Amino acid sequence: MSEVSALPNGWQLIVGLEVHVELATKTKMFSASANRFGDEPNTNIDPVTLGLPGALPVLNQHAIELAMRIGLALNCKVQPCTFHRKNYFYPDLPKAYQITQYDHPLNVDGHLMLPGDVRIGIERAHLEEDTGKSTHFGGSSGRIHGSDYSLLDYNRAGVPLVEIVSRPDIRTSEQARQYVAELRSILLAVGASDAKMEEGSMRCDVNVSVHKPGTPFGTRCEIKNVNSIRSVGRAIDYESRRQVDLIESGGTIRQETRHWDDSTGRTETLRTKEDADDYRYFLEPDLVPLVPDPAWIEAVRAALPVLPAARRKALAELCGVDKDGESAIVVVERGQDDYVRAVIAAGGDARRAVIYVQQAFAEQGVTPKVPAKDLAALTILERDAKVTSTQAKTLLTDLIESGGGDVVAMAAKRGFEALDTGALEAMVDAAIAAEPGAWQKYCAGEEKALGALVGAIMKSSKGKADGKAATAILQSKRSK
Amino acid sequence: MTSQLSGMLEHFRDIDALNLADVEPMTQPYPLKNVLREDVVAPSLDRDEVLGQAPAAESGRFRVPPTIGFDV
Amino acid sequence: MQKLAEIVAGVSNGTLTASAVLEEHLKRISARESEIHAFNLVTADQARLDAAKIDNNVKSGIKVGALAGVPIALKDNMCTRGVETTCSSKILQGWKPPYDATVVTKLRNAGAVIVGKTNLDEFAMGSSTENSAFGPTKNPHDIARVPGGSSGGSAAAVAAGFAAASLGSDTGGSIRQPAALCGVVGVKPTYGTVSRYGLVAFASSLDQIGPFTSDVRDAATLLEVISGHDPMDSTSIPQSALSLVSVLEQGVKGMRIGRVTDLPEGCEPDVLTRLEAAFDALRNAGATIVDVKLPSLQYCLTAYYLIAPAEASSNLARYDGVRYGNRVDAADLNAMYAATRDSGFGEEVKRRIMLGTYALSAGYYDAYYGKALKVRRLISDDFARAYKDVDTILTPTSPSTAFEFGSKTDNPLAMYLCDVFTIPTNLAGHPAMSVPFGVGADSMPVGIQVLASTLGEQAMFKVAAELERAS
Repeated sequence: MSEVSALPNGWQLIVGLEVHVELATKTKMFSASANRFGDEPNTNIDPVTLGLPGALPVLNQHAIELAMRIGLALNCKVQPCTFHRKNYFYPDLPKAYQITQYDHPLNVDGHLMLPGDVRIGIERAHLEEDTGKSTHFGGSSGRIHGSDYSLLDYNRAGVPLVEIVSRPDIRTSEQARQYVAELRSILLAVGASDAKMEEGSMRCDVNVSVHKPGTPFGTRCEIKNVNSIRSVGRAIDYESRRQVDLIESGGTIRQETRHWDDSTGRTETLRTKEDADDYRYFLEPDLVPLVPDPAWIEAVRAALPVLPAARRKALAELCGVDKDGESAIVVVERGQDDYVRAVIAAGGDARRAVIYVQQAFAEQGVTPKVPAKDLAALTILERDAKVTSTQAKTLLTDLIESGGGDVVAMAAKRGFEALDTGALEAMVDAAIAAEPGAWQKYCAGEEKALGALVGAIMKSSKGKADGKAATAILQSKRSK
Repeated sequence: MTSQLSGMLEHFRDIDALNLADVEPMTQPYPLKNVLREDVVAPSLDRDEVLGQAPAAESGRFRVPPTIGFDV
Repeated sequence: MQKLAEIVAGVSNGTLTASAVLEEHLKRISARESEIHAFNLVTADQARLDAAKIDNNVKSGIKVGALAGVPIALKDNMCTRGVETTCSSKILQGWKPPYDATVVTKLRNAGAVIVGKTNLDEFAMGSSTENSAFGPTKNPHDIARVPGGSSGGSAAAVAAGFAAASLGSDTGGSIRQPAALCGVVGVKPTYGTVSRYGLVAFASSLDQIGPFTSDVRDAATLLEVISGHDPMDSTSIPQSALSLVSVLEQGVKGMRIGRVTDLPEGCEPDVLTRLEAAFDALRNAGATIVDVKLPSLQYCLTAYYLIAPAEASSNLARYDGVRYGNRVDAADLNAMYAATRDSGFGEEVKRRIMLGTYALSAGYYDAYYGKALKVRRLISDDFARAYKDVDTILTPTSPSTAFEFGSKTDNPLAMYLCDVFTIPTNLAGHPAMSVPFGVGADSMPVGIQVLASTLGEQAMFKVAAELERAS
């Protein structure tokens, strides 16, 4: 947990993230209008969505199911819960209050693991409803101030949300990015949301403060409008420097909400705490408590898929790679780990299998076209030095293009055969004899001279020599 | 109005006489729980009918004055 | 005035037509409505079409419903699709809902003929209908006096024979008190028995819809039709419609009826006299009168006037001029909100919104709203203890008979005291009804309130029926 911070003068960064996730239900949180992105404005509306006089909310059972999946996947305790009204005025809030969860949320006290076994606490993951969308017109910058009017679309109003609040355990911007990426992969794995930041179905608010270790946490600022994983990192880097610079020049941090501008790479004041509303929270009288039956909770838990972290760990153990390394991350993210298992089951070399898939299968999806046995055969060819690694790469491309095939035949067709060690030694001697100048320079320590020697070997072998093996032989000859 | 309101609030202090430390608040007249609904789509209201009742509308949306001094 | 059962029977077997029944009522409306002002809107044309349809159905042998041909008026805070619903407020003047309240759908399915939307205190806040933005309703027994409130229009409509029955809503007594003042029957059922979907909310944990009728049997009939679980209302009790008509003849022999010994003061002597007469009548019919104490009764007014405005302040925040209703234009959004609500809401509504906002605000929640919720528990416990000993309780409905216009409008607290006997039932979520029982010293109607415990409607109606027989 003690990552060295990138801030100067011993300043430590403290970050907490609040992530809002739109749930993949068919209907809204409290009414039966469709929950669909991209429809014509105001075509998924009903009395509850519009906050019409006389409308009443009724809880969506599937939203609860998905919210429990999220909570359980984040190791939370699922508990009896209630709903509150959060009261404030804004045109995208049709009832002038949002129904949310306050002192008794559905999921509490969980955690999420980051690479390097860093544990980030999850304070809560509660249910609430989304607001409508307002678009501003007029005004030069297209931003809020100085515009002429706004238009409101309530299709999104009432869409079920889960708000996931982390503890302020994040210490670097890299960890923050990893947190968002991991959270996203968990949400996708359990089918709770399509979690597309670019469409707004996953939204991050970032809380940043700085302090010197051993002193209390500093005043924090909340940053909004962070619309991509990359922006999460950039916003944190900017804001933490802004705070350090301000404090070191004698200023104090004001507790406020700031707006991240991706084009300028800066945060700006949006509103201060003094302007903040008193939300006058009180228990929602139109709803009744939700007490999930323990049998229901257990059924949801039992039906959870193996989560990404567990899949990476299992794949890494199987293939002898790092569970936090590139190949494990990429292959599991693409959902191709089961394919790798199939390749291994077909006799393939585990380590080579995972690396091949990582490097070449980006476009292949969850069920690659190349039959597992064919890829397995290729890994064996390379392992047994029947082809060089360069040749194997070529064959891999061929396999993908043709959607499979007999790799032995394909290698023969290409005229690939790796040279055995004896023949290679002879070629190395011949190259030394042909390039005495280069050999002398190389023995004197000029690494660049290697190129001429290896080049000669490759030329005389017509590309069949394994460049890496030839280099190794030259190196050992030099050191004799 | 203000004097009427403060007069009322004064009157309402009669409940200060009660010892309510061990009393559970009553938030529901009838003890229901777990009222849920199936996730099945119902038809939307007709947009024209709804926007016809709106004070101002444009391009299928509700129109309001700008949010100066207001923030997202 | 015809009773519901006669109308329905006559229309169903063809001896009466819904159209003729309707015309009779429309004639009475023509004669006296300009004097009484029970309605915000009389929907005569549509009513005639509806009545004609029912008559056609009867002629074609199509089965008609339990309220076939019954002319009914609806308090103007119940959503009627395509028909103006104003809550007697300028902010909703001209608004036509795009949907029907569940009770409206039930009435239509039962073959009722809706004759119009009745006047109320704005957003149901008041006890005299003087807070209507469209002028008050007069008491049909004496037009210099109020009909009560907030459902004054619905009570007057039945008292004047404009409708055979009407629906009102009751949050602190808004059905029962006007029923008493107008000399008709008014029922607030157990919270959760009648759907609130489509009822414009005042105080969500207190509001219930209920009937006004000219007799107890009609009230039972109407309540049977409108009650029952509604999946559109999360607070709706998951059981089927109440069954009431069948118990009306059972009498009160062996029943135990409570007399509250610590009733709050301020009741007029002639009203107390009628209460005693009511106890006598029930005793004579074989009931036992038992003393009960409800020590928290005296704090109910305070609890109510913190809880109801708190919920109302939140429920009425949606009237912002954005999506529906009347808007006062302004250069920016905040100014638009302020101007719209300032001109759209009347004084009493503003007063309660302010009170409610204060009661919920940070730093004051525990002192006001939080405490009020605990007092609510106390009164609920008091009732629970009392109902171990008795089946129903009797109190006056209103501390006085109908008062004169303007006599309480200067002093809001004096007006609030009108509900001192009705408020406790709403806090507890129990049923209660007002039955006309004679007149006061001024010859104006007096109503006796019958209270029962949660889902105790059958006991309540038995006692009410007996009182009616004796009145």
